Amino acid sequence: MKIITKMKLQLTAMLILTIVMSLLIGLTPVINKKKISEHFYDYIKNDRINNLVIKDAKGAIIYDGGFSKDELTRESTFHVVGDLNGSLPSSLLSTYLSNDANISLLDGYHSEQHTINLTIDLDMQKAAYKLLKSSGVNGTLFVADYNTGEVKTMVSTPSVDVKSKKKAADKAYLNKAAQAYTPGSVFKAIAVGALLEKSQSYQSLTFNCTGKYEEVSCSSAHGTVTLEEALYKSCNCGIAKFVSEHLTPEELNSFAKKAGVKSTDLMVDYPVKAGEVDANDSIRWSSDGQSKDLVTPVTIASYYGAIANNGRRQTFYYQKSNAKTSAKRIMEFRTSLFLKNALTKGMTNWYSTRFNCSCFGKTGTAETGRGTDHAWFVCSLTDTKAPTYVVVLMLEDGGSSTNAIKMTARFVNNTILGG
Amino acid sequence: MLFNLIQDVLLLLFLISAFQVVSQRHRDVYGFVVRKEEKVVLDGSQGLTTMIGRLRINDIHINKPDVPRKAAALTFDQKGHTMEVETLSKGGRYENNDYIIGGQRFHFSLPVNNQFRLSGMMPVFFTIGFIGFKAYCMYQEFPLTSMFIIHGILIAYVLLSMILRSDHAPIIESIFAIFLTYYIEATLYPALTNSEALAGCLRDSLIGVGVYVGMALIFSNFMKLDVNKAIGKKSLHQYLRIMALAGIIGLIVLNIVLAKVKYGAYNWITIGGMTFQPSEIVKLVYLLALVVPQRQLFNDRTNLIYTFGMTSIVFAYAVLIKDSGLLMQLGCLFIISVWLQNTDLLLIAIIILSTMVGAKAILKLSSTAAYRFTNWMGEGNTIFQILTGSGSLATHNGYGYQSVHALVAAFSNGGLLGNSSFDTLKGVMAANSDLVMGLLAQRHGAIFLFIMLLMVMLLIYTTFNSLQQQNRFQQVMTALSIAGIIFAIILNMGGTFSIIPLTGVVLPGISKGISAAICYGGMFGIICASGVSSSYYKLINERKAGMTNE
Repeated sequence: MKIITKMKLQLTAMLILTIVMSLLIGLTPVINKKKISEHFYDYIKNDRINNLVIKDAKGAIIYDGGFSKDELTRESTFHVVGDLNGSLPSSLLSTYLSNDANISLLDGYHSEQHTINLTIDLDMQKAAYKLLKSSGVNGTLFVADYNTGEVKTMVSTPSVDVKSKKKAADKAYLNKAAQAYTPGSVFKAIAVGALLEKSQSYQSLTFNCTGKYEEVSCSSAHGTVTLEEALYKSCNCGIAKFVSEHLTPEELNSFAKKAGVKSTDLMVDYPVKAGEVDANDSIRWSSDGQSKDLVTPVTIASYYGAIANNGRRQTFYYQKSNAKTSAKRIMEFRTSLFLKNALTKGMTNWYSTRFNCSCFGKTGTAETGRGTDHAWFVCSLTDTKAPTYVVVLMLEDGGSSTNAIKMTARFVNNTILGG
Repeated sequence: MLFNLIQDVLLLLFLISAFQVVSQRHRDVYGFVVRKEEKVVLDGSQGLTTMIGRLRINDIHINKPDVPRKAAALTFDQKGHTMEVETLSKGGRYENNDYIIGGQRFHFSLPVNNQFRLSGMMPVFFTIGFIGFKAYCMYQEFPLTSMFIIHGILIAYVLLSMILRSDHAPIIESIFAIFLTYYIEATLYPALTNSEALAGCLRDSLIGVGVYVGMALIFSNFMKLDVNKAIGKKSLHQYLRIMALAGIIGLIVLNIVLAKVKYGAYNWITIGGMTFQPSEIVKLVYLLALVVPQRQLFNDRTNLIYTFGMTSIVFAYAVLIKDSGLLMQLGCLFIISVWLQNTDLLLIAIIILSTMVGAKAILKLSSTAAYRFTNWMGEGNTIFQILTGSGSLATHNGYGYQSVHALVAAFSNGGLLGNSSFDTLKGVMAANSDLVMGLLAQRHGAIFLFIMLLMVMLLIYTTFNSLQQQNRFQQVMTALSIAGIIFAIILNMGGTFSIIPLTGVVLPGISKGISAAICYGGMFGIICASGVSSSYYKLINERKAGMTNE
């Protein structure tokens, strides 16, 4: 064979090799599309995690490509931030990572730093966590601005340290603020709201409480109570009587629904569990927040916030980018005014010395049916010198609400007002 | 994205125009048209040198026992317009354009190329446009005047090539310059995230481009020089072989004495602040030593001892430094040189077989090579699955880490047109050398990757033409150089995308590295040395018919 022919054969062989290689390079991503995509999405996940910065309302760093070195920050913010394993599906990291990354067929994926600014106040968050942890009782403390909808604190105990290899405590992965619990007497404001939304004339209703009405009982006889007194004195019999005589179960269910009991979207960026009111089962116990009633602390905050906000409910959010400006009216102004006055009287009569600012609120001791009670306390700050916050404390199996009042007062005085 | 799209369009325009020009010129011939009794036995496509003798390897082979194996080499003196006849063995004679041997008379005449040809300047214009635009794009990332200076060197190189070449169609030079624009980008890559590294990267890219272009110019012009006449009795290749042997021994000693282990290879030495691998230069020197134009590689005892002796030394060197990629490249050069420069089929078979057995033995000897090979194969995969990356994907946390990142970067992260970023390969070792196509494909897109593969095909196709414009010495050098370059491209790109195991071989003209610039710059220069003189080009293109050697 001539040498020039050999050379041309050599070049032809190299050309064929190059074509074969090109075909194989082209086929590799087609054949392994699934595996390459998996690696790509793993890469994107890691990249997004590494480029994510989470800041609190004041700009303090909560997460910066990795979890904080401060254990208290990690534990107190766990139920907001979540972890990288998706253990808390509604948490910030889980929803952030489940959102599709911006991938284009033409220019692929761009790695870029992403900052999420929260409305959460890290100092308040830490203080709330310490408060709950030191109480020896598990529960949740939820604080939001009823005027703007900004969530300032959302703490739940027990919590999880994402950097610890220790086994997490039971129910540590539950954000109790978004879970539904028997509300007890904090529900009475919803029941009274339902009455007044049907007719404002019910404001003048009276009832002589002997400590027992049908299957409902009070711890002691309240004597003759008006609707307002029945609410702030937490008269089970009175509320049960008024509601059962003037509302149908459907009407109570309907207003509870309007009040947000069955809503999951009371927070734009954190789904809450739908609560339950089954007035058909026992409208009397149901109106007192017992029976089958289940309500989340966020719902209670939302409703009491609406009372403070003259009947308009502001949707909550904890990421600044989700700010909503429009509030939804869920009750008439007159209804909210009546409830506000009634609940303020209760605070003034019994708890005013505990708080360093004017506020209205309600206690709740909810029977769980297991021989324990959930302790509730909710209050809305109405002092012009205080921020427009609604505070809900729920202590799971926490016994009497007295402890809840004490803890809430300490938090309001020392952290909200003192801070 | 828009910038990448414009770059792709310019590259495609270059490719289309270049393919057209090369295919038009594919019919051009530069060597002698040889007739025997008015019958054309050679049409001029054999190149500038015509070999005559009994062996089949000759351009004109006469199967008669009284004809020498290699009788003569006939070349047209392009300056003096005379026939140069180098008699290799007695038995034939030259008379007025005729060579008489074995009782047969062969008539030699110059070729005629009078068909219409496309302008060879179009690809050059697209190349210059591309380089200029690329400089502008790089300026967006690195707003330094140096960006225009460094790209200006490439534009000047292409323009100079166009002016100096007789056919004014410097396609290979253009491909080379386009490759080098990506060399600049790959070398500057670390500075994209670390501005403190910019000065060092800029220095490296300037030196690299300078070395690449410098080596290409030196080798290209050296090949064109009529050195044989100047150096007396011995021919150029004989001097080169002696120098090559000395060079190889020197480089190996240098490696053994000064080398430090870096990235798992025992072949990095640092001189004057510059780090390079002597093994890269050994490839080029070995190539020079393998060329025996107008003779056979093993035609006498001296050649036999020299070829085998030197081959043994370089192979032992590759084994010593445990560089399987180098070993494969040297093996490829050796096999091709044997194939081109011998006729004995048995001998060729023995050489190829022994090389294959040697390679297998090396795989057992080198644990790194064996590890790579085994993991690339994977377990229970079919051949097709192996060739499409199943092994690497199964070991993405181990062996396949680099390749899987490169695949993700090229085919997912960059999209079709590229995202001008490099994040997938950030922190991955050898991102701008061994995995450079993964890096560039993410920055410029999957389409760009296939444009570059077309560019490689164009390089091979254009070399077909180059061979016809060269004498025998240049032809063998070109055949070995293109083999060295293409084999390196296959090893690099195949390894990057898991078609073959990773070898650590860099991508010629693109991967970061000064030592590679010396080696592949020289090889590109050899391939580029294909232009006949302007007067000869004019002569064979303007004559309507007939022959002359006056």
